[in-house]
Order: sequence, then C-alpha cells, then structure tokens
Amino acid sequence: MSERPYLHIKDLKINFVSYEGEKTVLNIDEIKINKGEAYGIIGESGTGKTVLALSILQLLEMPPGKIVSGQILLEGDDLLKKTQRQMQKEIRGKKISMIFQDPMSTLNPVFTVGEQMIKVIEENQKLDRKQAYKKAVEMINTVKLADAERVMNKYPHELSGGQRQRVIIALALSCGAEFIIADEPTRNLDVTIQAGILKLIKNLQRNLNVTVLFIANNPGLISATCDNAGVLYKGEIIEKGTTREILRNPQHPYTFTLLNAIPKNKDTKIDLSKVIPPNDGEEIKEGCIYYNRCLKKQESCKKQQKLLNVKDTHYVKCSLFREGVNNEQ
Amino acid sequence: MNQSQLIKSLKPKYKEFKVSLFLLKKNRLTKMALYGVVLLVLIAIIVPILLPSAQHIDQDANPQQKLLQPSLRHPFGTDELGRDVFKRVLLGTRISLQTALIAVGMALLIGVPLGAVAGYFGGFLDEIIMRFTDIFLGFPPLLLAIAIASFLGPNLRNAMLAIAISWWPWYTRIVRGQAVSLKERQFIKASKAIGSPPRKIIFKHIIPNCVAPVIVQASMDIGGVILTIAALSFLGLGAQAPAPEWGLMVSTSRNYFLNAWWYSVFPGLAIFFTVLVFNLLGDGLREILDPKTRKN
Repeated sequence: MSERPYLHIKDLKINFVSYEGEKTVLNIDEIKINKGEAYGIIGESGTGKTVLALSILQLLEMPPGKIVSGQILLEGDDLLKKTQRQMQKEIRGKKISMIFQDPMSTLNPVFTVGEQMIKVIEENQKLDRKQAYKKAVEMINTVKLADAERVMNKYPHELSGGQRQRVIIALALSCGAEFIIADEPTRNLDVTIQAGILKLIKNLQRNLNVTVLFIANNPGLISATCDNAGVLYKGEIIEKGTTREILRNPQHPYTFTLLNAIPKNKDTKIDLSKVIPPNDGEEIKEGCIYYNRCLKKQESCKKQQKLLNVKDTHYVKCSLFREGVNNEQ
Repeated sequence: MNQSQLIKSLKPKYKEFKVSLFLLKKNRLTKMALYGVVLLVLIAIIVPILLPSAQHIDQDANPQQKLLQPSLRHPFGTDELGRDVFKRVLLGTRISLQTALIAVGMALLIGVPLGAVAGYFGGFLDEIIMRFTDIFLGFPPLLLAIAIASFLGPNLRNAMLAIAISWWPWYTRIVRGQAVSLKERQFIKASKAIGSPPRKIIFKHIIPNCVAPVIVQASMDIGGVILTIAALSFLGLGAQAPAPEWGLMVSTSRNYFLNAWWYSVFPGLAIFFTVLVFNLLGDGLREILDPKTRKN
C-alpha cells in the first residue's frame, strides 16, 4: 500500500471515565481503508464497534468518552483535530454519513418520511422543493422500496423495520457522502431483507465508488460485502486482513471460535467446547486481552502481544501463531 | 410524478388531522368545550362589528336608564351609566380572548425556544437558563404580574406583558424536559451525523416533537390568563374604564352589588364560562394528543 489510504486510523486510544476510574474501550493500532473499498469490522457486543464509528464522526459524548491519543486521518486530514463546527460544516453529511443500527428510532416520529428526506436533500444539495422531491423519490427507488410516492407520505411508525432501515439508508445516501459508516445496518431485520440490504450496499459501493465501513457482529455479513476486515475484541483489532483470509484461515483463537459459533446447517451440531467460552477465566494485567477466555492459552500469552504478519494481507495479534500452534486443528 | 401527487406530498398532516377530529367527536365533553370556544371566538369577531356604537361611552350611556333589572329589552340589565350589560359582556369577549392569546403567545415565544436551547445544549447554559426561570417561578404568578403591571403602569398592554413575563417559565420547563429526553434519541444523533447545525436540530426536530404537551398547557393556560387579566383589571391594573372588560365590570359593580346583582353576576358568569371551556378543551386535547390514549 504505497498510496495514501482514504481513511487511516493510527494508534487511536479512547477511554471512558467513570467513578471506577478510566477504562480503555478502544485501542486500535492501525486501520487503513482505501477509497472505494468496503471494510468490515466484526466483534461481539460491547467490543467498541459503535464507539469507533461515533469517534470517526466526533459524535462520541465527550464525558464519559476521552480521546487519549491517536489520529483519524481522512485523506490526510486529522478529524480529531477539527472542532465540532468544522465537523458539522465540512465532514458530517458532506463527506461521511452514517447508517445507524436502530431503525426504530432513527427517524423523527412527527414528520413524514418524505418530509425528512426532502429537508435533508434541500439542505445538502441546494435544490428547490420540487427537485428535492424528485430526488427523494429517486433515492427511495434506489433502495428498492416499492411504491416510493406512497412511502413518502407515511410517518415512520407506519413503516415496518425493514422499510424504515431502507429509508435510513436512502437518507444517508441522499446527502451525497462519499464515505458511509454502516453500523449494523441489518440488525433487527429478517434474512431476506438482510440479503437485500447487503446487496444494495455492495452495489452502491461498486457503482457510486462509495467507501463503506461496515460494522457487524455476524462474520457472514462481512463475507458478503467487504474486501478487507478487522476483528475487534475489547477495543483492539486482534486480526485483520482480506475478508477471505480471515474467514478461511483464521489465526486468532477468538476469530476461530467466533466463526465456529455460526450454525452451518441443521445437521451439524455446534461443538460448544470450540465456541467462545464465557468471560470468567483468570484475568491478567498484561499480555493478551483474550487470555481469560482463550482455549489455547500458554505462558507466552502473558507477554505483550504484537501484530504479526501471517501474509502480506493478513495480520494477527497472537504470539501462538509464531510458535506454530495451528488454529485449524 | 405529477402536480397533484406533489401537492398531496406537501400536505401530509391532513390524515393526522382527520384522526384528531374523529377522536374529538368521540369525547363529548371536549366536543362541547370546542363548540364553546368556537362560539366565543365568533362572538369576539362578530359582535364588535355589529355594535360599533357600544364601544363609545358617550353614545351608549343613558343615565335615565341606569341600573335597570334584567328585562327583554336589557337581558342582563343595565349598569350605573345606563349601558346595556349584555352588550358590554359580549364586547368584553374580544378583549379577553385577544389579550389572553397575545399574552400566552408571548409567553410561548419566550419560553419554548429557551427551554429547547437549555435542554439541547445542557451544561452551563442549561444551568443559567433554568436557574433564571427558577427565580421567576419563585414568585406566585399573580403577585409577580401585579408587581410588573403596577411598575409598568396600569393599562391593558402592560397587563399582557406582565402576564407573559410571569407565565413563560412553565413553558421553558416543559420544553426543556422534553428536549433533554429527545436529544438522546437516535434521530437527533442521525441528524447530527448528516451535518445539521444545532439551530436546525432545535427548530426542526426538538420543538416539533414538543408541540403536543405545549399545546395542552397553552390551552389550559388561556383560561388561567383570562382569569388573571380579569383579576388585574379588578385591581385597577389592567383595562381602564370605559373598556368593557369583564374584570373591570365586576370591579365597578361592587359598589352596586346589593341592589343590582345582575351587574356583577353576568360578567362573572362570562369569566367563569370562558375559563371553564378553555380548561375542558385543554384537558380533552391532552387526552387526544397523548399517543398512549390515542388508539384508532
């Protein structure tokens, strides 16, 4: 990767301050996303996926959040150095927009869907109302919602979760941003609609050359949409590389057990001994953050872990890899 | 897409309005209150046009007919200058409604944006605004209004100002409470994420979402404000003679109460009826606008 990546996150460390003291919630060494690429982030609940998304947009509540160190470079510009006002004027909606994970509460309940879309389009693209209306209908058609003009006249509560999620995607797209953060955009949706939305995002990325940061807790969704991906655990990227490498040849015990947790078909029983164990093992101060739950822990895990190179396109933060412990079994 | 669809898309509230109307019809007390309000508004608009002469004391006064009992010719009797109390009560409707609407409107204009700003930004600004409203809330509203009105000088315009100044903190509190909970909602965050400035979020997202409780409070307050205006006029701090203001009429009639009961009773009944009707409407509106009771 000789050229400058579109989004470059360097040594980002974010703490949450509470009465118990400071706790690190995000500690990312490096994420590079190229222009026009779809990058996936997977991890369990509470590993900091949404915190990452919000901190890119500087929407993280600042107490309790606290940025300790690091840079988020968007085309070389450090987003963390910008003021809220600059973010609002130059970045949010202009360059980056976000699809939120909860379709039930992301739309304003007192306005119709059309009204909200028209407002956003009028604001961001400087069109008059008639043109904005046309554009809104066009966007609703883009997300494959049937009967766009009728949908425009409905209030959010009159739409189903899937319809709303599509409206939200249409809204996020209609401001014309070139980078979209999709924070679990298919949560709460049924499988057919999930597939439709994944396809939609993939198409947008290909056809409009939109860069996508796709956040999910299901590795299957990543495999369908993303070129590269990172696995997030307790705020750290523990494995990253091409999606194919990560899913086919997982090197970190966590990724491995995460993939094992997906049911393959009705006959294969999930071997619970190979699925991620609960969070109740012995805690260690230093060393691998996954130590207390790891199935393959060894003495060497108590040392500081570094990101190791599996291939050019595949990195893992697990010392066991170098010692030749085969994760595939 | 053709023109008619476009127009339809621009009027999305129509259906919502029909649902409200339907709910209104089901609730008999509210329906009657609404008719009462409509009646009062009609009286306020039409009567001053029909009876232009009654507004001029010199044309209407007739000392030979002073303090006559209610009769067919004078349904509410006459006052100490021989003016027809019925006409004056009807004429008073416009004064009361107008002043009440303007006073509540001014209170809303001050209170709602302040509350939204306080709730949305929070922190230091919130602290300052809310402590400032606390100062105003510390005084009983009537007492504060009396103080302000007597400070500014006794006339109807100053009475309205006094009432607006003593009424806005309630709206600030309501809206702030709403804004604090609304700003945590996802759609506000989403709006920020697509780059809306705070001014836009406050006016397009926070305030429209606070409309229901504010309308309810305002329609109930109109009754209270009418009462307060009457009270101020009664104390000589509001409307001045010869204005046909209800409170003022009750005040002057005190001297004749023992032998001319009609002179104070009918303006008093007018105040009673108006306040009752607005309070009932406010109560009904609360039921209709509350999504928990709103089932169709």
